[in-house]
Amino acid sequence: MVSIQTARQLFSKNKSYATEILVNIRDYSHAQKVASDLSHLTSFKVEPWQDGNSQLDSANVLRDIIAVAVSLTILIVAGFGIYNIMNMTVNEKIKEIAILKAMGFNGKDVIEIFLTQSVVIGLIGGLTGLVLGRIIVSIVDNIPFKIVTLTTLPVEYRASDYIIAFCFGIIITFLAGYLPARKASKIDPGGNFAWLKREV
Amino acid sequence: MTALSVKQINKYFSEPVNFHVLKDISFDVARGEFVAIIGKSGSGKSTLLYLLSTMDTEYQGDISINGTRVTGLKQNQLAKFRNEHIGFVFQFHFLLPEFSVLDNVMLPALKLKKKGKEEIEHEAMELLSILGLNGQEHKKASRISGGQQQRVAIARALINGPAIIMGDEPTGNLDSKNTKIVFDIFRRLAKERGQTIIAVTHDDEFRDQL
Repeated sequence: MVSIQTARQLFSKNKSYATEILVNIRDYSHAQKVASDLSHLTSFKVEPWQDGNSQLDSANVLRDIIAVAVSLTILIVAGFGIYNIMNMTVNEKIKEIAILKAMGFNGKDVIEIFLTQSVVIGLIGGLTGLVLGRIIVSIVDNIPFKIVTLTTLPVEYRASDYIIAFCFGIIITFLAGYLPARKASKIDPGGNFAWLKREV
Repeated sequence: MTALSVKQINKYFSEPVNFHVLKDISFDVARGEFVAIIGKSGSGKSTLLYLLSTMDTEYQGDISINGTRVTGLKQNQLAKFRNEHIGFVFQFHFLLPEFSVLDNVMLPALKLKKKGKEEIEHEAMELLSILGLNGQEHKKASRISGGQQQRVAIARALINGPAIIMGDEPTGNLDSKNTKIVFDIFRRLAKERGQTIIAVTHDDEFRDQL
């Protein structure tokens, strides 16, 4: 490697000669926009890093897709877990639901009760998940991983990731709770009153 | 004044076979009357009671309670009507076992939302003491005896001051001492508060007391 002055002397060029200027920008994902902005200012060729490294770029995109797909799958599986729990709760509580309805509670009240339960599960689960996740990530952050400039596994801490994950969890639990709750709300207190003849 | 008016009720069961259970039933019940529906098992007593209670809506004919025609009302309207005008006592107490005795009694009134929580609590305590349940208020509903549970169920049925109290074999699961207590409570309610009571029974003791 030689300094730019030596390189100019070797090529016997003057002090303003350069073949390439590399621009370092704050957010690498904005490169394409910065490149097109610069190309309006100059007659030279301006190229974002993605054009010269399309393999690296597509690997990046693919990795992101896999990460999202895996976390979605986990969330959906967890959602089915909650759906199952709520379904079982509804089946277990059919008699209580029918009693409430006989006393004058309507379908909306029943939905409210079961949605409250599932959203509380979601909130507790979500918060526990955030705390546990943060702890596990800080452990992962210390696992040695020596490639190029890395010494440990690379970890990025972004508050927005935690917020999105939490919101998503709440939405999933809401949906997973709503379906059994709606089923519960449709239980007819009188249409099938055989239960009224059975002991608690 | 009539508390309950039934006109030309017909009820069919289609499962497992077509069966005409109630045939052209019509009657009126006056306010403050204590009526027992007596009949042998399978004769349709409970079926009739569940029609009267508005919990079963699949029938032909006309039912009016307290001057309101309940036939043809929607499920949610019926739920509201039951909450305000009908009290229920079943053969089994059907209290919510996780809640305290007091909470069980307060529940229908909290749903009705006509009174504040403190007033409801006060009324519930009063009802429980009328029914001889002093000192049990804060126990869990699953921790008291069967006779007490049935009295709590009666208190729950009474909390909103319903015009009609319906009982499906309300003493069917009780010994003769408790049967007498429940019967006395019913008779007192009819006499002193002018509440109408309709009970299905095949209990001879209960019937003999009438």
